[in-house]
Amino acid sequence: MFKRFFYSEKNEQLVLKEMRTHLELLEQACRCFVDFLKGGDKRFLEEIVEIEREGDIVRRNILSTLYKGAFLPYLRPNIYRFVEIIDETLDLLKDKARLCEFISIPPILLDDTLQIAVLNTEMVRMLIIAFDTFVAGDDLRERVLAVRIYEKRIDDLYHDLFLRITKVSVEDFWQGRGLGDFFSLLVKLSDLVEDAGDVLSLLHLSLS
Amino acid sequence: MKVWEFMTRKIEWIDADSSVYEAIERMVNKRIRSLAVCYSDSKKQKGVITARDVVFRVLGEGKDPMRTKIREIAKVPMICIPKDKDMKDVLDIMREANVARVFVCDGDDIVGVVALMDVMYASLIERVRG
Repeated sequence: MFKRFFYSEKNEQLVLKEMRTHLELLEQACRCFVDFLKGGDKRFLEEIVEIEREGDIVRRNILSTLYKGAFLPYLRPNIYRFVEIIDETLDLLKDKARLCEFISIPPILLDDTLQIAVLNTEMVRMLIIAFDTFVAGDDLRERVLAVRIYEKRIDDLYHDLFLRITKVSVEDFWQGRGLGDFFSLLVKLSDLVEDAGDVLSLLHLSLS
Repeated sequence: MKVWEFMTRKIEWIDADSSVYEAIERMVNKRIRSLAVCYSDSKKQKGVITARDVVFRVLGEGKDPMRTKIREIAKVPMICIPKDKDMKDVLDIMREANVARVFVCDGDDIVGVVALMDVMYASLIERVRG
């Protein structure tokens, strides 16, 4: 069944290839953010913005191929949803990068911020592994569980981090707001990736 | 997978001369099951106190937690593993020492802790990574 839907038609192959590219772009953007946190080089932030633009192109390609009739109609909504979630995650990374241009992360929070960013990247890698498993038509329950494990760890880390954020003094309202927004975006990424994993499971179920 | 990749960096410390009651209070407030113990008289010495120790060696024996000091029941030395060791080594230590958490060290410093659940999570991720 999987082979029929995923390998026989040119349009289906194209969509799957572009979805993989979309995920790779997300991983690349996450790695850029980790590199920025490690060294403070703002060129990585510009690269994230570029990657997001590239992601938009990929997203449009996928949608137009779906419009041309790739996949059976009942599968399209969840494929579309998956693509939208990945796109939203890339948008979120871009917003985070923009915020980092004018806020400075307090040194006492930097270590935990970096750890969350690294876990986010690992989580995206796990989603790619899950996606490959899905395309191969194998059972992806274990992969999706691994994605959820990462999400839980990030949540736990954020809980501790949040208690310390409240004790950080800021220069003015906008610095405080920027910092608050930044940390919200930092953890929202893992929620979105977890959602993408769940949609992948749904797609897998639809085909079995 | 290396230990540092999956350890919890947050460690709660308590002084060996504090009362067991203070340890109970800290465990309840922080929702944790163990505390790292530091000794003011010996900076190198480190120990650990777990909920199990509190239950079996203080409350279960009818001792007053207010009057019992942590140093009386803390386990020393603390069981540690270097941060660049493999997760599989943690499992071996847990099995041999019959403990549910192992502290992670970087030289003389304690930098993290790995609990049984962390080992389970790490094993699953390792399996998926292939």
